[in-house]
Amino acid sequence: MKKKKVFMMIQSALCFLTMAYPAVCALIIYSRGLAAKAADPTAWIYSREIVGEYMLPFAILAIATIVMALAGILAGIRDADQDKPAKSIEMKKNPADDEASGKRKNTILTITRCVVLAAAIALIIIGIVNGSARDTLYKAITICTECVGLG
Amino acid sequence: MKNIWEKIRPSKRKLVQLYAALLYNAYLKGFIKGEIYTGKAKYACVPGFNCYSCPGAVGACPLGSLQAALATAHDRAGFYVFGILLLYGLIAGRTICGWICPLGLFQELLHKIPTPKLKKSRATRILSYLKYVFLAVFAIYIPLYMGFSRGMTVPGFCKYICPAGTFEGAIGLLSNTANDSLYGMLGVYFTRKFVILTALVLACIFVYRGFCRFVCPLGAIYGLFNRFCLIGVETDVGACNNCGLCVKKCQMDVLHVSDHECIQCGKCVDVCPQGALSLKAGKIVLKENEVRTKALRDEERTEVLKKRRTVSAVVWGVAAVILVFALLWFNIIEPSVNENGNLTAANVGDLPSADAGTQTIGYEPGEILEDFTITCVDGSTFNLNECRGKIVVINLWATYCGPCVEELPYFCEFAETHADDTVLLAVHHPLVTKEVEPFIAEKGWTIPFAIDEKEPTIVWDKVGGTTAMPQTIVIDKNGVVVENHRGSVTKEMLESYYEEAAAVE
Repeated sequence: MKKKKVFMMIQSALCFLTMAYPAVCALIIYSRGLAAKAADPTAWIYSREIVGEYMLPFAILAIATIVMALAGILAGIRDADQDKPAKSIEMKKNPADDEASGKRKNTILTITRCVVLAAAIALIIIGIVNGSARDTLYKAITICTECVGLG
Repeated sequence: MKNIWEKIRPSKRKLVQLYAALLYNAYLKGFIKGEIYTGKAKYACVPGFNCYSCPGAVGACPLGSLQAALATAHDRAGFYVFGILLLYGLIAGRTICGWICPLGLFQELLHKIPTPKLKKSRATRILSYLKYVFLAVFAIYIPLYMGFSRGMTVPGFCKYICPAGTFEGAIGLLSNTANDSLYGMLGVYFTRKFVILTALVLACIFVYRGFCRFVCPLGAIYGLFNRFCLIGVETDVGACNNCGLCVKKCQMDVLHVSDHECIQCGKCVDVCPQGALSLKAGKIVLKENEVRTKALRDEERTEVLKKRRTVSAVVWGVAAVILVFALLWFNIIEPSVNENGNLTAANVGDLPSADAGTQTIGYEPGEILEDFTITCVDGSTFNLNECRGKIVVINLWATYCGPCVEELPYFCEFAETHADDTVLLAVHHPLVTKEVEPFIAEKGWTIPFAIDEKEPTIVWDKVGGTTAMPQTIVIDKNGVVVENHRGSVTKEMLESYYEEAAAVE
């Protein structure tokens, strides 16, 4: 029992290091890049070479984390508490299924579904006609540099 | 060996999740070539969270599309995306999160790492409402506000938070050496989003589906449909004794089965001692507790199990055929991604050398840019060779590109400052989504603007334009490219490029 806990604590520390390391590296690269940019506005903040300088320790940490995780899974190590029922949480009664919820409630549900379906189909057709479907395509086939955090 | 397999054997749900992730990202060639899929399949939004700038993505991201639709709502209402979201919500609600979201699968795999786990509590239930704040502020308010007030397309959630965009899109593209020029675009946005990504990954190791529960705006939208969606966990009230084990064992912050937090994973179906729960699609039972099957007579049970096995085999068979077809279609057959039809830049360096002395024709610094003639939106004609003797600055942009719209005023200012020896040209991407002329007039921009032609393009291919905008090309007085910068530029950068070009005799 104690060994498992020690294992999980080491694994936690390794996970933390593996994720904190690249975050700190990114901040270091960014702050150095800013200094370089102040001297030369055309200088790049990031480059493959600069990122590459920090990759080896990250690769080692990542491999160690994965190997240790696999070993732990194969050894059946896991936080046993997560299998126990949660305590001190709010709860409500489960709602009845369609058949048991009564004819009136069932009818309301069916009508709601039909209305939403009709609205969805109508909106899609209007969208195809008014060109918003084409907007979706155009946005999707262009690399959204903001979306991916490029700039 | 059998014991090991038992420990790592994936559940049916995991296989479905893996299948969906592969199907959404069937353009495997994109990972090899470092480019995104530009075919017509991207008319359709995939149901789950999957960045459309991921090299493998064959469909549009519903959340990204929603934000783009809201950002351009002042120009054209995005009915299509609203309809798609309604349809997906009605059919499956948050079953999508539990079964066919690649980001959900990624989080669950992270949570498998053996570490101490944070259990759900009243606090996590309260925190689960945070995702509605993210939805309201980042996915709705920012795109609408920036669209209406400044005419800019700013997908707030994608720009400031989305870990899928950083991981699948940015890292996916940057990992390929073909995209080394994209490193020049990286700055504060990337750094901030990368730190957020690492924090969320770390959180998901210790907290079950941390992103889904507290951040995901798409899950927040689908959760609204859980009450009446067609696929979901249902309770047989006759059999349920309200022991509450289903809620207590559930790792999501549910108050009851199938509430807006429920991702319909079906774990509660397995743990219910009464067999009162079942995962259903309308009347069709997709999953039920063994208690129910055991209650049947032997002959009936054998028949039911046999029927289920047959249906399961047929479904998996059809799914396999679809996946194989998708892989073949998107990577080999699809006509819009072949060499001629692809909208990404052609390799201009391969063009036969023109009469340019010893210098090659191309778009990289040191090369001579091939001549072109394009008609501007004001009716005038722009010819590159006629600009010899002056510094030429070409900017590639689009109305729907936020950073492009943000930087264009610098170019107008720059053109006024260096009117004596500089010629500017802003070229709009061939894919036009709205009236460009009124847009320019509204902004009051004064430099010459042109809209590029589609296949073959007049400017785009010649300057090595990609689908990642903006891009700025600075050419010296002899027609030689001094700088070809992908990404936004600042005033200082423009001045620096100008000085570099002006220094050439």
